[in-house]
Amino acid sequence: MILLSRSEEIVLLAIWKLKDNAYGVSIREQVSKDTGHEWSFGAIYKPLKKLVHNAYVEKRSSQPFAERGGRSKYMYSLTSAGKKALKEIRKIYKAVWTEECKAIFD
Amino acid sequence: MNPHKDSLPFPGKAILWFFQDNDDYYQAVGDFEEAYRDRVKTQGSARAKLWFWSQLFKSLPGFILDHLYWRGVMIKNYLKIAFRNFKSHKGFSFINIAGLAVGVACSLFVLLFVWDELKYDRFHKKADRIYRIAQYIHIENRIDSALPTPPILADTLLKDFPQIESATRIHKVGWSIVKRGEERFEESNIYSVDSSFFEVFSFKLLQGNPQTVLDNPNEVVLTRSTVQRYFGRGNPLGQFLTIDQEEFTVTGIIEDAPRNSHFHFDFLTSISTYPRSRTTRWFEGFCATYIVLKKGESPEKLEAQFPEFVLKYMFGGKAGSNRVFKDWEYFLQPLTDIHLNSHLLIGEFEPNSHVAYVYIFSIIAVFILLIGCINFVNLSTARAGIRATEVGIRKVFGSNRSQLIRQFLGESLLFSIMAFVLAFILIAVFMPAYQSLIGKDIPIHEIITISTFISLVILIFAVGLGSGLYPAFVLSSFRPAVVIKGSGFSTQRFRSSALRKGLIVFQFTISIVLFIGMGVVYQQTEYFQNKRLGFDREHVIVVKNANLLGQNKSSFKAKLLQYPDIQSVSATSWLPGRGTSLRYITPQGSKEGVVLAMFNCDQDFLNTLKLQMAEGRFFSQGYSTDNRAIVINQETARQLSWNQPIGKTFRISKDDYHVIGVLEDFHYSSLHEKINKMGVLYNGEDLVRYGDLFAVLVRPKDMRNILQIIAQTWDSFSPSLPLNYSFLDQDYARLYTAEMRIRHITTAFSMLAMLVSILGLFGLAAFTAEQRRKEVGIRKVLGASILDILALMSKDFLRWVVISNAVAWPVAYMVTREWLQNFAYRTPIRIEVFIVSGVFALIIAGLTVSYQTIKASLANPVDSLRYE
Repeated sequence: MILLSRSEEIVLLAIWKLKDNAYGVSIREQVSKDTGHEWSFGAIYKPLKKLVHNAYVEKRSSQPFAERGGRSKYMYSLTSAGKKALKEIRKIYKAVWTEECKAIFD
Repeated sequence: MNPHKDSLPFPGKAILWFFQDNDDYYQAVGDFEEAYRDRVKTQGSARAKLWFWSQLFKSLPGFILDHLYWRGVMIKNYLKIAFRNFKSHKGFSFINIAGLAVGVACSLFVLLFVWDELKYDRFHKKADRIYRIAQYIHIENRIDSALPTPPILADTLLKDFPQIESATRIHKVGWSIVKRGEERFEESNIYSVDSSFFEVFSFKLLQGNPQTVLDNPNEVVLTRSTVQRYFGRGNPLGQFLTIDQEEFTVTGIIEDAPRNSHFHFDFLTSISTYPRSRTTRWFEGFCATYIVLKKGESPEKLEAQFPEFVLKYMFGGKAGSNRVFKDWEYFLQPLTDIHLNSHLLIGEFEPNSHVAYVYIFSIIAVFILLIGCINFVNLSTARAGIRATEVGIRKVFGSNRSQLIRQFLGESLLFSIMAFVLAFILIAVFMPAYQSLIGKDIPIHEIITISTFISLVILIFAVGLGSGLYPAFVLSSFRPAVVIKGSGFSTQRFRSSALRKGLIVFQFTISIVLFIGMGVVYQQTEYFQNKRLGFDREHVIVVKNANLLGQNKSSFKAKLLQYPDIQSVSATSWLPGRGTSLRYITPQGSKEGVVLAMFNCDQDFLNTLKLQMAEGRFFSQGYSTDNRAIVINQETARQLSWNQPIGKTFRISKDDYHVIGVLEDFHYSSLHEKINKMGVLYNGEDLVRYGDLFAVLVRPKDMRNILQIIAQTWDSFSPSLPLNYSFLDQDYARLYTAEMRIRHITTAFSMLAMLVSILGLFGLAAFTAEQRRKEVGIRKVLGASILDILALMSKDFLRWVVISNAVAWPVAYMVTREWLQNFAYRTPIRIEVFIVSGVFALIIAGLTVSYQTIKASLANPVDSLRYE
């Protein structure tokens, strides 16, 4: 069983959603949009780094960008392990949030 | 588009850089910058900046946690490596740590001393506003600094200067006999004070009303420990004590004066008891005067008004109107300065310390700490070769330079912590020895506070980072390709370090200077011991409190002389090593008076102290006119330019005294001072008039037996106190307590400095020997003799020590010459001291190095070359 921290999970999902355009700025925007409140960069770097370390996410540097002063940016993409992790999380949620849990919202 | 326009504020970047490794840093800067630019475009640069800073600070916790998390992984590895290194090079590590620990222990010891010295008298609430009035008294061609001021001064100052808040007077009563009922005690710490004492000082009154305790004459306040001695657990208030025939009522109890007060009392009597406190005469020194300035008032302004004040009250508005006192200057001493900076000639309550001590101590300690740190720098860089491979491999695996620097700084911090732990152990062990060295007890429990803890942590970091910085930069600078290939890199690197040579020279320079200093101090103190003083202080027993014998003084003397072991006895008011009393007398044919150090003694004084007469004769029982006779010393005759002094007269009070003899000059006080004018008066046959002392010259035999005889004789007259005696040579040696202390201190510290330097040299020598093993092997194979190799290996080290000597000698010369200026009579600075110190350093260094080099040169080349 794969257990990710909540912030890691959110970041992982955001990267999947962003497909080819996942890098620091866009991930932060996506995460902020998803959760509805502003995230700081520091708050996304930490889970990002851990995801990379555990090989759920791949990090590679892109072509240099003019708007970055000729520097490249680091693009992130999901690895197969990352996809598997997402699926598994979903499965666990389904198993944990059974029908009777809906009563919580009443 | 200009990439530098709209870039992030620099301090923000620096913060990012600090928390992140290279890659992450560029990512973060890039991300921040992109988002920042967007904001600049949409919202303007001011709001963008605001946003950036708020984002940065929100991000900080994340950065820090992240940093710590990943750091933690590496730190584990760093620690492991550090301990492995420590274990596999025990010798080096020990030298590093021991050297640092000795340095740290020394500097902590000194900090203790300095801390204590600087804290004197700070416990008073008004400490920064309290001043003591001291004075320069111009008599003849001399200026005396004196503490006792006219008793009327305090009130007059209060009346004339509105900026003075309060004033109080303190008179040291000195040695007295205190009686409680039939019991008698000898006391010396009796002070009499004004009732305003408690307004000025913050000594804690335990019982009694601070406003009124000493208002009336014949009232006394006792310290807590005095109460215990006299009354045990009983209540002393309202009880009576007799001090010097006067009866006093106990009206209060006061806490004992703290150790770091510039005076210590057991009894405080009311000053109004003494009639002299009410005199309105101005030229009479009686009591010290302390004032409190109102808040915000400047002492300089007050001081500037003193000359006018003096003119008005003391000289009746006309300068030079007094024949004796040419001038009289008052000046202010800040209370907190008294302990370190007040060295008045006359009337100090207690001998004060000297600020020079604080400086000398601090400088020496900082140097020893520096020597320890230098060892660390030298050994770490010398051993760079050993760590080079590690550095190369770390770099190959992706470490960057800043990580490596942090690693090595961390290691030196670790060493520093261990050194401090060892230093604390050293301090605990040597504390008693140190306390006797500096002559004071420093209570440890007073020192343990938060602020000392914080400063210790700062010191640990300063030492660790300070000594680790250079090695860290050197070690982290290696290029992996070069070091991993390992092509003759390490020896080259080691031998060419100019910095290391410089540091060694520096270390030895300090050690040699300290050594020379020690030598000169030693010579000067020996000079004190051996200088012909003009009198004999050996085998002279001093009997004190002779006045307790009353009318029996002559019988006491006669009885003592019956014993064959007692050669000579003299009743006198003074003996060398004690303060002389100055008197103002008028020589024949002059209107002006002169000041002479004067004392009274009987006819046997000359033989008891083995003084020599230059002319004329000493007092004698046969001449009835000797009661009106005076004996002077050669200096007096010289200063008065009397070629034939015998028969000349002095007018003392209203009588003429004939000069009957001239004593050869002898050093009646310490060798700090030049011999000055001295006069001796006759004590008469009855011996009763003057003199509280007996000098007893004995044969150098069984001292204990002789002392017993004297004690028995003393007791046979049943005086109220038991015999109180001392030895003249010891009394005299007490004049040099300060110098002896300096001698002990420089000895201890110069030995330590040398020890730490030697430790470092030993480590370096061991290291070179190891590095050059193969070279030595090849040289031996090619026919070099053991001596050749010894010379080859020791040459460098010895050259450094020689250079150190060249630097150290002029420095030491200047320092010691300055110190010797303190003495009127001093030993010349001898070149031998320098040579001995230099040669000693050379020999020690030679021995240290040769142990390693001999080992290397004796090694069989087969062993060292086998693996080539």
